[in-house]
Amino acid sequence: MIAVDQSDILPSKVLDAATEVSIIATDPQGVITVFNRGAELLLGYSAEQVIGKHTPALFHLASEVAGRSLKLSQKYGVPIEGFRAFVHNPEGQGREQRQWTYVCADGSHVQVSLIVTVIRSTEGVVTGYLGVAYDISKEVQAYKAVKEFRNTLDRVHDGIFMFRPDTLGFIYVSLGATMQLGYSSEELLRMSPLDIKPEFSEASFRQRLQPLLDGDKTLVMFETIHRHKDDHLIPVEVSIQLLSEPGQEPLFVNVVRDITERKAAERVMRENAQYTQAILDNVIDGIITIDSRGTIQSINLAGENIFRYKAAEIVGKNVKLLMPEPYHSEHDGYLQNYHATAIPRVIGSGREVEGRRKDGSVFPMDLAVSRSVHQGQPLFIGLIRDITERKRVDSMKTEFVSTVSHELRTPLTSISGALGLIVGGALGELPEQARLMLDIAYKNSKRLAVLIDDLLDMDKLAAGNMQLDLQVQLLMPLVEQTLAAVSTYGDQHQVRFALIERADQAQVRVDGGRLQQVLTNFLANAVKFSPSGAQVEVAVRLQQERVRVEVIDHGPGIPGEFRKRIFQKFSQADSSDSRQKGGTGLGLAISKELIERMNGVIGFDSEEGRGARFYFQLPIWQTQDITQQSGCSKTAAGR
Amino acid sequence: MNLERILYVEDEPDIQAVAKLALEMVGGYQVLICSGGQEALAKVGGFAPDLILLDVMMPDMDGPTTLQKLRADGATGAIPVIFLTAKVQSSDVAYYQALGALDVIAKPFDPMRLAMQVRAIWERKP
Repeated sequence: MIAVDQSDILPSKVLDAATEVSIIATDPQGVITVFNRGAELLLGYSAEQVIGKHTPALFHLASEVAGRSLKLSQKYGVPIEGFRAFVHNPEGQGREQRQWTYVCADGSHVQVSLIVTVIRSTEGVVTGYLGVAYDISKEVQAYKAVKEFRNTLDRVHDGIFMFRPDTLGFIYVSLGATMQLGYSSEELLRMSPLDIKPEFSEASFRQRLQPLLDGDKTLVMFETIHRHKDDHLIPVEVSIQLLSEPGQEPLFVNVVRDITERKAAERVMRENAQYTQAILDNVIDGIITIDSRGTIQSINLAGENIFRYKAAEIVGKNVKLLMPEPYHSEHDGYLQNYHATAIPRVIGSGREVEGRRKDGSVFPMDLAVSRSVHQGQPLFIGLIRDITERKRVDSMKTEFVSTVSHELRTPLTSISGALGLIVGGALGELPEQARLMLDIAYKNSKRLAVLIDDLLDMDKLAAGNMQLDLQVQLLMPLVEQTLAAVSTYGDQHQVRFALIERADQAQVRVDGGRLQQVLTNFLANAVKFSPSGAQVEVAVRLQQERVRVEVIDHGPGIPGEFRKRIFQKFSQADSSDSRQKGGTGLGLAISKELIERMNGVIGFDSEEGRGARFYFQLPIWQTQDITQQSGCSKTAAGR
Repeated sequence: MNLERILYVEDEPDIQAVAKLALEMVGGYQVLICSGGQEALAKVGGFAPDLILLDVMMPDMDGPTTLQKLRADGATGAIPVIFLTAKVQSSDVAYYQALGALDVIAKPFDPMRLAMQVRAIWERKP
């Protein structure tokens, strides 16, 4: 409280000299009695306009005054309004300093710091009030700016710290910093980075900062761990800059990002990558990826083993390195063609090609290529299987059949040949019983030969190794040759053959020898099941686009229970121990396979007791060119 | 030119005996047996056969190689050759023909018909 006599009021010249300060005095009712030059400049009113005419309400925000009045009224429990809002507290405390908004004559607002003092007489009577106001607009703006800046920093999820270069003590910490570490801002402002960075000593931390102080770097970044208030560790990424303004103390600004989730994601990605890599490394097939230029991007462990390169030796090189000619020269063409036309030649389909190992050796492989996209660029993925072993086994199988065939037939040639000479009479007459025994031996040696042939044929057909020499040729000559070849067999059983229908113009595409084998089988069966003196008819007839060859016998016919399995392997109508008719039981099964391989159909009609009609049908070929079977007609005795 | 002298190249002694008997007694031919390709190449000039019957699978030199060597020699290149073998898949037959063989007779053969088969093939030669 200031006790000031009116005569003690500073002379107006002194008042007016204080142009940076607004000095306004009022009487006890609030009417303005003094309005200095500073007030004129600040508010835009002249002293004459306001002295004795207005109260300070003229240049105060009514809403602000009302708000202040309400607060004071609530606080003190008495109505305090208008001018009393300015002077109530100063009357009690002597003075009051508050921020107010001045409204200037032009309507603009100015933030001021207003000190209101009570003027009393020497007797203590209030004689007026003095208001001294400073324009604090800039400070207010600066404060607002700082506040806004702090608010912005506090909205950032990352922790922001500022610390001094000399003591390393924190002078500012953001809301994010407190939330990251669990400390309050007050607690943190008593700490330094060393209190939260367990991996660093002071020396090692200062070593990190030195390049910033030396000006060698503008930013330092590193990963470390921070210790939370509850002692758990947080993986963080730290970036530190030095703020250095002329005339101001330099400060370190430290932005800290909690990378716990990122580390966890990285760990998951690493584990997934390891899992995927483990799978890739354990698949049997090689997996190679290339880009659109054919540059190898990756190769798995199996691929390394197949080609005998280490990944480091070939990643980055062109995949042509792994191809022998002609694939080596053609590969660029494949890629160019695909890029130009988008038509895949190899892509999406598997095929058998050759690969070249590091040592230059060439090997067969199955290759399947698919297309994918990686980071917006095409990526081609090749799946490779080394089929060297498979080829070797296939070759062995083929060779096995051929070798077994030879090894079985060689001793049989000697046996049946020697017996044939004796039985044929080339070595003179034999005693009756000896001749009988040798006859038996000879017939069975021939039977053995037939069995070997049938077994080998069946194996070849089952394995897909039967090679047929398909030629377009007239059918009738094949039929006639077969009839001539089996006529002796028919004579031996008193069965005659009759060709009752012909189709001389019919051309078929067949392996002639194998077709004769089928017809021989039909005819031999017909003879076997015909009574002595009977006739077996053969008919060849055209049926639109097919030709049908029938062998008709008048024997006992096919029993009902046998009909379903007649074309199965080792199937015979009489399978009892006293089997009468002989044979291997493979003839019809082989015939069926052969006819079907020649695009034909095989079948029979029969009624028990009324003979049987076995037939095969083949498509007719219309071509004018007839390829005659020349030279080689394979003949095998007794078939 | 008659078919009188046959050179038979076969490594199996039993088959040698059967075929020799069959060709001599049934066919009336003069037969010289060689146990392998090397022996055949050594003796073919001295025997001057009208026809060579040639086995395929032999240990010292197989039939196809023997035929190639016969064809390479001007003195023996024109002698007709028939393969007598158990190895008679259609791919084999085509191969033998491509080498220049007249034909193939399959084993086991009928000894009573062997001479007739050989003559029939020999008479078809170009």
